[in-house]
Amino acid sequence: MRIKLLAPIAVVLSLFSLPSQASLTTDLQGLVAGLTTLKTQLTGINVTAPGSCTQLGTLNTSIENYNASVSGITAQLPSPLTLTTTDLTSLADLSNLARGMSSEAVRLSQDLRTVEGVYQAFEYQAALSAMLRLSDDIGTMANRILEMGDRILVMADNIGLMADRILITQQLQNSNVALTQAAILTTQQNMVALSDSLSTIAYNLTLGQLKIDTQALSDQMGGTTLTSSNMASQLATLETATTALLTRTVSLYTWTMQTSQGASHYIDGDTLTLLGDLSTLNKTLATALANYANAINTLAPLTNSTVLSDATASMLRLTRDIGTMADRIVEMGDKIIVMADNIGVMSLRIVDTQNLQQSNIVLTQNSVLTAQSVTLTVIKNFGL
Amino acid sequence: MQTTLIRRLALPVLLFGALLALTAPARASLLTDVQTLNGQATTLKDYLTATNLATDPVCSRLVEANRQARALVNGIAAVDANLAAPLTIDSTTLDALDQLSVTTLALANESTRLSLDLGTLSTVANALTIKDGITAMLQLSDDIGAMADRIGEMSDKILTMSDDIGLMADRIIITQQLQNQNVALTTQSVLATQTNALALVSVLEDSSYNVSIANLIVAGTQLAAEMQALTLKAWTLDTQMATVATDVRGFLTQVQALRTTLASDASLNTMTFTPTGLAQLTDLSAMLAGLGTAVDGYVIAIGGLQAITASPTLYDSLKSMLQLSADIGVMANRILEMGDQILVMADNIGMQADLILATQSAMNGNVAGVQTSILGAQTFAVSLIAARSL
Repeated sequence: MRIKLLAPIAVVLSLFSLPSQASLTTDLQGLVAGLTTLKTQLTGINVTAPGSCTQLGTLNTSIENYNASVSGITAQLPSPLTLTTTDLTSLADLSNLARGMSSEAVRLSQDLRTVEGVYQAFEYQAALSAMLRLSDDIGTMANRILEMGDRILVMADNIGLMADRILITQQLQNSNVALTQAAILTTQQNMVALSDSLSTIAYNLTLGQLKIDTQALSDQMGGTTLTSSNMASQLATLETATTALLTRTVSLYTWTMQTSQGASHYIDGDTLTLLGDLSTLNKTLATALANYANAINTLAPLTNSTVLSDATASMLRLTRDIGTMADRIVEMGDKIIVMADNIGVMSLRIVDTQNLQQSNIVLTQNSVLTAQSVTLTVIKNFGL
Repeated sequence: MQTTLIRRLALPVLLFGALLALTAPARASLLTDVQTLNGQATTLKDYLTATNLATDPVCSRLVEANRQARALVNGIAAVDANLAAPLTIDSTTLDALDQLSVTTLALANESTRLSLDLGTLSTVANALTIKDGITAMLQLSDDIGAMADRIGEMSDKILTMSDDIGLMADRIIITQQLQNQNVALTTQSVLATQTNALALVSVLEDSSYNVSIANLIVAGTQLAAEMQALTLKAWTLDTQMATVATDVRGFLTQVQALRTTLASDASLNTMTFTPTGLAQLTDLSAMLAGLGTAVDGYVIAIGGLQAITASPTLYDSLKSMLQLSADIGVMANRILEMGDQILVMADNIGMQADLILATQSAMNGNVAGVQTSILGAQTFAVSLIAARSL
């Protein structure tokens, strides 16, 4: 009689528990299918191919959504639940897939090392960020899978019956998580090892010397008075000094450009001050050139054609060199801020320097234009 | 006599023709080069115009723009390097130079528009996308600025190499004035782009979390001490373990709260590492070792008590043990994830590379230790449930 009464209750209870168990089994199988797709996507990524940063970005978003699904399933686990071998197999599959993905991340991080120097610094930095985010997401995924396994264990009501199989799954998951974490650490180590930072203090000595030399040239130009007899020789002397200074400026610019390819920059305030000072000095040089052009224009009727021809040719070369020098100083600042490490802390200072450089370069270019226009008019008027 | 005259005239004519033949290709070549450069610049301008940062993938779109811009700068530098004196310039070549300068200004204006779009995007996109976008915009403005400079320098060089300046003086001055004006406007746009991009930079120092992490270390150390000081008894095993499981769950909530704050900050900011912040992360993961040790102690204690403990009490205790193991596992994972998250947010990895690697290794080691304790506890609980048929 008692058995007869209990039987319908048992049937009703089993009807309630069956859907939840079936749901867990289906959910786990769905997670396995989803993770298999993600792993295939990851395997197909080639960091050396164009557009890899978008592929990595899309994959990162997919993994984050996937992690949210795992957390959602974990949060809604029914209690009590009855574990099946299929569920444990799914858990083991998930754990193996996560480990496989962490190995893929290591492969990508190694591939990225081979493109160092080929990529533009910005592309390279974007790829580094994406790889760090990918390893973070894969690590989180492995954790969520392990946590789901642990939670299922807490809620299971047939642990005793499934003990051996559960222990195998737990051990497998544990060793997989350890391997996954080790792979993620390797990926992170590869990425961090590729991140090189250089303080811009390294440029200050050369920039300081350039400032001294530019000041000397400015003094020399300020102390030069052109006459109808000396204008060609004086300008030739200044041209030699300017070309030498331009060579040193371009050399520092090239060094900055090369180091920006392989390292980010930690901006030192003195570097910004020196770059600002140099642009101010270049403006002075260009002003002197405009004054020379006006002097030549005034002296032209009294000057021998050959001397005048040489002087105007020198003037055009001087305007070219001083214009180029001023450009390189501004570009050096632009290069440094692209890869700045401490951009947040220095942003106001950077904007101030950029503003100063911008107003100086406009005045420099205006003076250069005046010098060129006046010189061209002299060339035209005197048929040189 | 007539033949001699023809011969005398023929030689200079031939020589003139030969000279013309030699100079004409050079001039045509410069014109073609400048027109090709203008074609490239127009393609880049169209690409930038068609770029919508709200709908297009920021990274790949800007990477492609940067590649085209860099190719253009290199192209201008190559044309400039191949210029050889004497050059004969004409109005068509100057028109082409003017056009190139105008297109460069249009490029600069497009980059300013993109920097404004990036500003709008910063309210909805995550910090990493914006970080990439900021760097890309700075790189693009750097390239466009360099482009404008190189065009100006090429014009100046053409001027110094020209052999007919006097004849073309007025036209050249018009070109120089236009270029000067365009360079000034380009520089202005480049500056506006840079200022817009720099205004989007949002950096947190890791010291902002110092107090929260220190509080967690204190609370975790205290919890570990309480867990280790607990003497388990056969008849109260279930309630004792349930209390511990509740305390662990409470502490887990605190750890998760910090992890949530960090994840939320990560969506809006990048981060600057300091050695102190990194040391705190290591200390936080080391705190977990105390909890692991307590769990190891429970395995031994319950192992000793299980023979004299009633099955229902033992079952409830083991379930609590499984729950607190799971929670400590979650906690360890969250702490490790915090380290990973901070690394992703970091914008000064290069500066602290060695210290970061040491921190990551230490955290991994500490978490691996806790995971071993958890697996030990789970293995023990599952085996005991099976052995006692609980």
